[in-house]
Parts: sequence; C-alpha cells; structure tokens
Amino acid sequence: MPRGAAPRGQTFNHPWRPALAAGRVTFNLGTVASFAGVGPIEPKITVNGTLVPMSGKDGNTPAGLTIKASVANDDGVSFAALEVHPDPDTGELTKDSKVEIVHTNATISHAPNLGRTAIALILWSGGQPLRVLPIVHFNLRYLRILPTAGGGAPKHLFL
Amino acid sequence: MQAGAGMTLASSLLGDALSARPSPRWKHPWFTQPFWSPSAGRWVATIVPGFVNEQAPIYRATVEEQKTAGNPWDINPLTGKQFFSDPIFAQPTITNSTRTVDLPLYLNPAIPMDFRGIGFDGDPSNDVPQFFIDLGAARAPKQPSAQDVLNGNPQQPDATPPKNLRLLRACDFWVHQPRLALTSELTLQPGPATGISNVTQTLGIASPAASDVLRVFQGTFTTIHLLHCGCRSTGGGLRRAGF
Repeated sequence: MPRGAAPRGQTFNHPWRPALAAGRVTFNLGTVASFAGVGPIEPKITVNGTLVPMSGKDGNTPAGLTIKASVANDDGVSFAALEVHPDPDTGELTKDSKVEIVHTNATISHAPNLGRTAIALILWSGGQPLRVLPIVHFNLRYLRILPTAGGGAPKHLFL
Repeated sequence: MQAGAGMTLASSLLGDALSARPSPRWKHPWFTQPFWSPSAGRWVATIVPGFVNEQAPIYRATVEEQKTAGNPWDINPLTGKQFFSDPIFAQPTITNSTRTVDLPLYLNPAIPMDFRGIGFDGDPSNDVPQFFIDLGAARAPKQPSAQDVLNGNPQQPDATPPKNLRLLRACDFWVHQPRLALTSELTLQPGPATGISNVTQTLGIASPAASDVLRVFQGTFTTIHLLHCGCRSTGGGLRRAGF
C-alpha cells in the first residue's frame, strides 16, 4: 500500500452519514452555509420537544432523530430532511435562522420561506425501520431563488 | 454467547451486550457488484442506490427474468403487498414473460448483464487498452483496408487465436433521466406572388412519456436507446455509469 494511502476498504465517514438504531436515526455532523450569508451552521434535531444540536448536547453523542412508521408513504419509504428557514427578505440564512433535521415523506418545499432537501432515505417494513440510505455526502450551501414576474415556484437549492 | 459477523460482544457486571455495527467497508453510490447467478445461469449485478434529485432510479424488469434470477418479486418487501395488486394485472392476457415491474435500486434487484466482446472477438473498431493486453487479451485481427479491397488485394485477417488468449467482455450501466425537450419543425412553402419561398420554424416543448422515468439500463450504451424507451422527443439526459 502506498504511504499515506487509505487502507483498502476504509470507511468513508462523510457528513450527514446516517445510522439507524432503536427507532432513531443519528447522523455524522453536517453543516449548511448560506450562499452569501452566514455559515457553516450546525442543524438541530428535536429531542423530547427540545431542539438540540445534531452532534448532541455534549458534542460527543449525536442527537437521535425520532422516526415514526406513520410518516412512511405507501411504498414503505420516508426521508430525513434538512429544513431551513431563510430570511424572508434576503433569502439568506442568518445566525438566528431555524435549521433543523426532520422526519418527513415530502422532499420538496414550494413555500418561499422554507427550504427542504432530503439527506437520507429510510425503508420500512411491517411498521419497523429496515435500513437507512445516505443521499447527501458533503456539507451544503443554500441558495433561494424566487420566481420572476413570469411566475413559477420558489427554488431552494442545496449545492 | 458468541458474536457473529458484524457484531460486537461486550461483557459487564450487568451482563453481556450484543450490538450490531454497520459493515466497515463503505460502498459508494452506484457501486456495481457483478456476480454469477447459478439459477439464472448468467451474470447479474446489483447497484448501490444513488439518487438524482432525491429519487432512486428503478430497474424495469420482466417478472420471468427476475424469477429466473432468483427474485420472485411476488410481494413488495417494504409494503407487504403484491407488486401486481393493481386490477390491470388480473387480466389473464398478461403473462410473466411480458409483465414488467419497476424495482427501485434500494430493493437490490439482480440486473441481468448482456455482454459484448471487446478485442479479439469484438468489434475491430474498438481498441483494447494496454492494461487488458497485459492481462492476456488481444486486439481484433486487422481487417483489410478499403484501399486493399479496391486494389483487389484484400488480405484475409488471421483468425487464429493467440496462445493463452483471454477474451474480454464489457457491459455498460447507465442512468436515464427524462426531461422536457425543445422541438423544432421547419416547413417550406413557395411564396404566392414573389416566388420567394417562405420558411417557417415552429418551436415547441415535448414532455417525456408517462412510462419514461428515472431508471437504470444495462447493455451497450447508445443514445439511440432513447427511441426504444418511450421518449417522444430526441431529448433526454443521459449519464453513463462505468463498470
């Protein structure tokens, strides 16, 4: 093996890498930066009704996203998604913007002040989560594009 | 208590704890794994799902093909329902040989592989990388040139296989992403009085057919394939996945 090369079969602990355990999904730390605003921002996850950083309160034990079978669609699929609430006027994220990971079956938002992108796919069978697959592998930059006078829907790009 | 593969066993004062951990070997999206299927008697492959705009591509297969490969696909493992619970499939005229099923890549469908020859028994116009020559493959016998044929002196290629020849096979996998396409139609009409022809160009938008979805194909990559998969236009985005 060349000096300095990663060992064969080395795992890739990329940002947003999901893990499934006991009805919860945890993630490797991933960040999102506003295209021309602040960042990087660490998203939060709701745990027992309280928003905590995705890396956990102590930064060592990742916060677990609670997932429910009722969220899955008819195909037995649901998503862990990143949701951002940009400043309505500028479309940029600020240090006070809400940035959260949620469990949902909708991957797209058409609302002007809510951006959403799926970061992991969760497979269900018989009311139990079977497997979680990563969708995003890198830290993200967020950009909102509002429709011009011609109409259309807002676009939320996660680059 | 004994820990199996992928498991860890930890002992404490309160007892033993057995936990599962994910495989340490990470496989990237689109990782393609070929293997021999004894039941099908052919090579098949699975692909680690990648996502295009958060959607996993499907592989469209016939039921008979998947049954032969050892995947009956009678029941969707995620929903617990029959894949063909739709009433349209109750028609007796639809047989397993023609019934198709769209299998998302996250269900790990076995994709039968259709190989083509490269090198000695392949298309002479395709070169063989030196890497494979070093491993025992050989280039296709040299065909007579057009000049030789015109001169009436075509040299027949030497079809004798080299010693220790290893045949080379190839199969492409690619992702097909349908999209809207721009259409253009030109009409030419003679002018009524001046005799100068009028050319009219009509631009339009063509939508993909309903059956044209994000999907994976295998075989020999060609853009002409668009014409066979239901695209009404000449548009369509294609991305090739190497194998």
